[in-house]
Amino acid sequence: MVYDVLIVGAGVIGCAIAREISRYQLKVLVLERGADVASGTSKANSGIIHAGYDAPPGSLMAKLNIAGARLIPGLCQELRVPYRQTGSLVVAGKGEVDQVKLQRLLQQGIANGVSGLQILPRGQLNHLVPLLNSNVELGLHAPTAGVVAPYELTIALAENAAQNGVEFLLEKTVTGITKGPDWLSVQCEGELFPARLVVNAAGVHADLIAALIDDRSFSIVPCKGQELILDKRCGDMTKLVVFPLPSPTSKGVVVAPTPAGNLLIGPTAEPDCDRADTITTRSGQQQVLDAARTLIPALSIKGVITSYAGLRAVADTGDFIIRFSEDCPRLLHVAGIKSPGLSAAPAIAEAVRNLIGERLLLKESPLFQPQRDVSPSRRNLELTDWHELIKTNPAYGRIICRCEQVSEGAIRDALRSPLPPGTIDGLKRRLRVGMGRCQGGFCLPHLISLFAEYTQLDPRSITKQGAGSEYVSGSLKEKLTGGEHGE
Amino acid sequence: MVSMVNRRQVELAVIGGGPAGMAAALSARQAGIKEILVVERDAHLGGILQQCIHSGFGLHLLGKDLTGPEYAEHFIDQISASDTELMLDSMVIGLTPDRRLTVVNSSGVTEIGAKAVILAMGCRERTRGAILIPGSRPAGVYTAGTAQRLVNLQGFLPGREAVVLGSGDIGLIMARRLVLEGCKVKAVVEAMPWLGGLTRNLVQCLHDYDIPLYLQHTVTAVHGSHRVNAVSIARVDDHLRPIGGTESRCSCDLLLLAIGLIPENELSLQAGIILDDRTGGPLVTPNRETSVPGIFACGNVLQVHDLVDSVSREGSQVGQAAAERILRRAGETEQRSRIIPGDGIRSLVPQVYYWPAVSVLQLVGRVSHPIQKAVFVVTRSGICLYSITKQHLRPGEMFLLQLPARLLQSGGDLEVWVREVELCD
Repeated sequence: MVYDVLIVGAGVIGCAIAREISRYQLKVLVLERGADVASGTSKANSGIIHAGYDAPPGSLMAKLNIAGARLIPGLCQELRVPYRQTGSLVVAGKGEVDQVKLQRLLQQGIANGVSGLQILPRGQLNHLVPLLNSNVELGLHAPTAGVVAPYELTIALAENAAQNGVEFLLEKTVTGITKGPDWLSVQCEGELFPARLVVNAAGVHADLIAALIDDRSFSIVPCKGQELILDKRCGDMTKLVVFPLPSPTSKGVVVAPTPAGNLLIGPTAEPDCDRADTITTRSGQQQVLDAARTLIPALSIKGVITSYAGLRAVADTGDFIIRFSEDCPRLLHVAGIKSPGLSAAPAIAEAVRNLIGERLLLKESPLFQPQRDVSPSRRNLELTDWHELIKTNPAYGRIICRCEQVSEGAIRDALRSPLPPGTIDGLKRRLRVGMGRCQGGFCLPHLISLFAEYTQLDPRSITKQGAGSEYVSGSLKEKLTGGEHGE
Repeated sequence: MVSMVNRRQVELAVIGGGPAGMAAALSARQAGIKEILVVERDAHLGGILQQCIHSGFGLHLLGKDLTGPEYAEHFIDQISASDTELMLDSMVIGLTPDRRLTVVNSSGVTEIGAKAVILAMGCRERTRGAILIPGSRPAGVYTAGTAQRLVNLQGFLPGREAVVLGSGDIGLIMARRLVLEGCKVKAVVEAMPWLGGLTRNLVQCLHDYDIPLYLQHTVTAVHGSHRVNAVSIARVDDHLRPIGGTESRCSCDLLLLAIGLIPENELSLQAGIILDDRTGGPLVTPNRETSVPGIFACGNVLQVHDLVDSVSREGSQVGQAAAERILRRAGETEQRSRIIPGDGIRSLVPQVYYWPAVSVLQLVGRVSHPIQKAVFVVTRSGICLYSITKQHLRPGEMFLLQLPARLLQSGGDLEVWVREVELCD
């Protein structure tokens, strides 16, 4: 069977493209090297939907950020993904240099077509962000900015795509691409997947994918970002996303509320990192705390519940790369999607769809369902509704994750979804189990049992994030029958 | 159709069916309360005792050397024989200042009003994230209590070669448990210059099992992309900061964290109860009543205890006090003053006393650092009211001071401090 479109990479871009083209009568396959969708950059970024003032006018980044940010709220509604239009604030101090920079951002934003931008004096900032550092004099307010959980959006896009017929294969690393008569043959170790078009949405590996057909027109130089998450008790410290003035390489360390009610601070910008380097460091964590405290001094390490790191896929061309390969017209690059990639995702998907439409006939499918099939979630239930839900199924009343109030019913639903998680981290990103202040201390043993019971898997094969990350090394009873260490 | 949650009214609601909650429920019944409801999130009573399969429980209270489940059973049997109502597999998700609980279980959502509430929710464990241990985030990093549940209740080995960070009792107990189950424990690492847990555990868990203890060291990084394959360990200075150049890698596939217990007071905060920064639990009177009238606290939710025997004793006292509160119905008429920890004292409970006192005021607490021989001094307005000498004081072991009632006939804040004295004093 020859696929019409094969997408390499199930991050937010790959999944947005998959969902967009699932509107049409196409055979689509997504190959992902990780054990789940959203296992690379898309699980670790700040989740900010940028208004679009911080991209060079005329660039793809600017054009697609603006278009994408306009599409995000409606998309989140269709996919039932929590989204908060918080607005954002870029703050500047007394110095003239800073104030000029802020003006420039305003002008750039206007040129890019951002609506509602305004520079506000200190007096008007107090009621927006009461805990703002007293040395802030001015703030560029962008009401169209917002926050979303990037992994929730990615998973929702993937589930809706799967619901609409897209096939997903996980733990498949692409090792070769060869040219056939009317297709490309994508190789994953022993398997071959022929496709009329291949979309390279491989994130930090996009240049390696291109190199498989000798296309060396760009390289990706990953830039690491470390983030800290603070307890929901700190979630109210700001209602808006607060930015410092941007630097040439990054938007800086931000303080952002999250849709679930936590506070996110970060990221660092550590260029030229290894493609697999997502380790956090003491100096990176300290850098984030120090920088965040210059925006909101009341922040403290005491509120921190976890930290993690991800890699930005930075292309050496300085802009998004969304074009066919010159070495191979059946390969479509969607590469270098660093910030504002998340904000731009729906617009990138449309742009890619248009490019695909130049090569393939796009016939709309009458069966396309834009609304994601999703089970009832505690997060938007009133107590009386929850009570009714439990009466339909008692499993919704057995709480497994105490911190995030996730029930056994919700866990079973996730394990039955169109794209069920195969790992505990996958459950975590769908339901928030283990994301609370106890970080899975209470629920992990229950999750392992439930997972094993439901999937009929041996508990010893249940992993955090795929093969090699098993939680359990063995069972106590093995010792009696003389296992590895037995006498 | 109007949907409504279930609604109930009881005399006494006890949140938590572990040793504290069970003792409180039993003594409230003895004091004459009829409608007692114990809400427990687990499928069985017993709380953390269920997974504490080692012995050493009940030496003081029962004169026996029992395992955790055996000790729990002593109380569970009594609860079963009484008319105490139980809601098991039930999570309290809300508590109001006017003593209304919101409970979720497989029967639905229930709002329960009570004349008195006893908080007995115990503790949660401090996590890797809270102390920001950097590195990769592989499988194989567990808090000790979570690992204990996996091993003792589910029969799983969380790893084969472990490093334990933290020398509190749960860390020491789990180090021994892992060795008994055939694992290698390469080290127990402790940032302070002294042991965190009971002295007897140093002998019975580490020395007896040849597990090395490294004081004034900490874990500075976790390694391994999917599963732990090593940790970095470094010496720390007097301010607990890692000393550059002292780092070394220790290969292991399991990092167990015993880095502190945090009283589980989410519900207390919802009810507007004032917490004590030092204990992490509610500010309480000698009866263990919190700042919200009619809501009491006992056990680990109030402060991290060292022995379950004292948890049970405290639970009994609180059950009695809550019963009196319900039966008397009237508000507090006694005057109150504060008890303030001074030099050398890490925490004290209660933090408030009544005057004029009618009985001995029992103060329990912990010292900030080990002291061989010490004198405790209690002053009011700079005047020494009481002093007593004690020996072998350690942060890991709670002390008890008993102030005679005659000293507390008038009010004014008490300050309690401790200082080291010469051994030959």
